[in-house]
Amino acid sequence: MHKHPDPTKEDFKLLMKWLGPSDEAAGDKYEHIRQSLVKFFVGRGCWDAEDLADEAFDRVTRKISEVTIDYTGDPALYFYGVAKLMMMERRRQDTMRGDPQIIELLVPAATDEVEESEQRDRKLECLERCVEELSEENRKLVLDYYQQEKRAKIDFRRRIAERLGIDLQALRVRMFRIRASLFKCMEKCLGRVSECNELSPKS
Amino acid sequence: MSGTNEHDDEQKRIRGYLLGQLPADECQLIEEKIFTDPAFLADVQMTEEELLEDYVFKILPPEESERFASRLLVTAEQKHRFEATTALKKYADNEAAKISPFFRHVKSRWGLAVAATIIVAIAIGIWMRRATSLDREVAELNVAGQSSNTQSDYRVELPRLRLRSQPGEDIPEQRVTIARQDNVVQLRVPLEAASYRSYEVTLIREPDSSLFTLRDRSPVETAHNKLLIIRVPAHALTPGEYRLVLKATRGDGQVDDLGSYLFTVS
Repeated sequence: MHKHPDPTKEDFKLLMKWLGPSDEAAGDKYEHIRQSLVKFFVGRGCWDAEDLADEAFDRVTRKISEVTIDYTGDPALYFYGVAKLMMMERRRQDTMRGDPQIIELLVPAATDEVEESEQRDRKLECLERCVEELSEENRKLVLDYYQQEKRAKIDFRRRIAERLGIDLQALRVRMFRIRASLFKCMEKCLGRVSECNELSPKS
Repeated sequence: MSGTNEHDDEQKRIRGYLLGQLPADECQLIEEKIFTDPAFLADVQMTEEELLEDYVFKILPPEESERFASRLLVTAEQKHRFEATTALKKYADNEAAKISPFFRHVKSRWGLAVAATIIVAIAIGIWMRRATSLDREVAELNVAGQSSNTQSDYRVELPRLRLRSQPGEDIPEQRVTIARQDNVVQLRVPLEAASYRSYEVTLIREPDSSLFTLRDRSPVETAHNKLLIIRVPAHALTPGEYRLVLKATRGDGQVDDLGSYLFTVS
């Protein structure tokens, strides 16, 4: 495959302008499209969905000056088209290689046992710390929600929602937010993050 | 009400999409909506996380479980989430196993801690005496061969068990009213599968108080079906919510968790 030049800062600025009238709106749109791309590639069994989402952004950013002239409509759907195209290319490459599988599933290299056990301990430590950082109410909710015994009940989510005096959808949203903050905290604690992962072109 | 049904239908479609069970044209519609509607994307993400939880808690049917593992445990991010959810479950179970959260708050206050210890010890003593006598009483009531011909028992027919992972049908909660003259309540559990060697039943008063466990139970044949009959002294069923947990042992000794029945005594 050819190595394309990385998009420039000017391209990136143009992309953000295309995505929204303000930095904030463009940032939100960028994030939404990125997550949609990841979901799309995951739905097609791609283990490298996050890299492919980045690749889709790179492709659009490189051509952004033409795109903004030729294309009218929701930018998100343009990205959807690019993603479908990328999948077709991948399928074609796999066919040319005679690969019977459309997508290779690469198994990550095995880590040794000691390292794995250390990682597990570290994760548990981080998890405990992050759960402790939740408000008392949310902490209690998390402990209820993730207990095997409680989970064994039919309609356990509905029962928790009733106890809290909220509907099921509100509980889903609340758990979604708590989980998001918890996992973000864990990522941070494990040093995987992400402050440097903000929107920026490769330079 | 129709709004709820629509929402449930959409949930099913999203689950189908995530598990790769939808035809291509429906996938396309869902994907377009994912790209254009942030609220819908959030719904898809929530559903994916709920599927992950069901997978971690082993309550997905086998086919969905396999599909989940092959489709949604693929990226590094998904694997991190799986590990975090597994750790969270372990943590919540460990916390639940601790005797009382009360100690967390009073550990630095010795006086209170001593008082709390005494109260807990007394409570445990009383509970154990009651529990032991209830265990004995229940065991006597359920001696083999005695269960089917007890005409004066107050009979509670429990509904057919459904899979825990089946989403949201509105099954009305069973309400049981026990009259003063009732001495024994007969909980009658219809069984679908008959290939089990024996059954184990635990009755829990919600939220967490286990009343008794009966092991090695066999079903009784009736004209229409097989029933598991559990006789419970009426005085043990004080008003409140109850959960009957059913497990079964296969011929090879493996134990299957069949699910729970809920009922309310008023």
